[in-house]
Amino acid sequence: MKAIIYDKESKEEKLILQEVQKPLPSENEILVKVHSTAVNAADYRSMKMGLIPKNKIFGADVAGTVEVIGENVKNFSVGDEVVGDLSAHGFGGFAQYVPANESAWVLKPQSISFDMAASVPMSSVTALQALRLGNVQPGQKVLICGSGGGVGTFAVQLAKSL
Amino acid sequence: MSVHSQYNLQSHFNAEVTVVCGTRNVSIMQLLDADHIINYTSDSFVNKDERYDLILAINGNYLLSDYKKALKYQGRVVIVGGSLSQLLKSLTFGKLLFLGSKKLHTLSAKPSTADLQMILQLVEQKKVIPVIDRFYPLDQTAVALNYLQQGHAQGKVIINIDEAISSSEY
Repeated sequence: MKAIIYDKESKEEKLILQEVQKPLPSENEILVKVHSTAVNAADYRSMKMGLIPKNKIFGADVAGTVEVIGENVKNFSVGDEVVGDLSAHGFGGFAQYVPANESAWVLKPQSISFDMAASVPMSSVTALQALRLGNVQPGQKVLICGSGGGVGTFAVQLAKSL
Repeated sequence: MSVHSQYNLQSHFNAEVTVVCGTRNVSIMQLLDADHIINYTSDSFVNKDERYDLILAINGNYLLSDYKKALKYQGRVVIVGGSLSQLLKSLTFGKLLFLGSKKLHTLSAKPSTADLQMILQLVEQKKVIPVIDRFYPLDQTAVALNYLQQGHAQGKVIINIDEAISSSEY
């Protein structure tokens, strides 16, 4: 499969498109054929801090189709459309296929495109958890600084949501 | 689990939202129904009398003391991600500066399938609209990350893998 491999030895471009072996899922994992993935600050911040995924493939937000399931997988079947945040499961989204524990994934609603689904996980969950940490109550006044990015555009809408 | 069990599963806040953004994002913020928009190129929340219950500090180079001043009694600032320097500042000076009734929190977000499912439902109901700035094919991932890192992306930057396969077949 094709994947973007992080090569820390490279002097110029460290993110290189390469042909690598297509992975197989372990017993609790599903292998997802990736349709869309989002880039996040978590990707370049991890690179800067030298936190490199085991397979050297970054990419946390993934939307795709289940290709193979591990033998202990209970909640998903081949062909299911799924979306997930793989930042706690070794990343791997910048590739044609990614295996990750079934606990990382949820079913993608049919009416949402893969591109749209991939834009949701990390930013929107961050926005939601920020509003909860802020203990916002109905009618309260919220100021959002830096509203135009991924987290901000979700935070504005979630803060207003009825 | 301990962190999450402290929270309810609230996702509906019904707050009055003021956003700080640049000129290019004003129309998006209108579209997203922000109640008040402060365009930082010509205006600043720092000089205003408005006081807030919560400030989400996602980006921007404001002083922690500016945030504190703009808070109501018992208000909170939540630092979201942000640069390492902003986080360090908030950890070292924040504790001293926010000793009174106003509180400073730094968020360390955790992936949550429960939260993700809840938001996907809101997207499905069109109550939340994901904003996507640009699409790149897989082989342009470095360019996409570079664009994001410059800090001017409007919403999300997406890598479409299917597109990569048709456009860069080996």
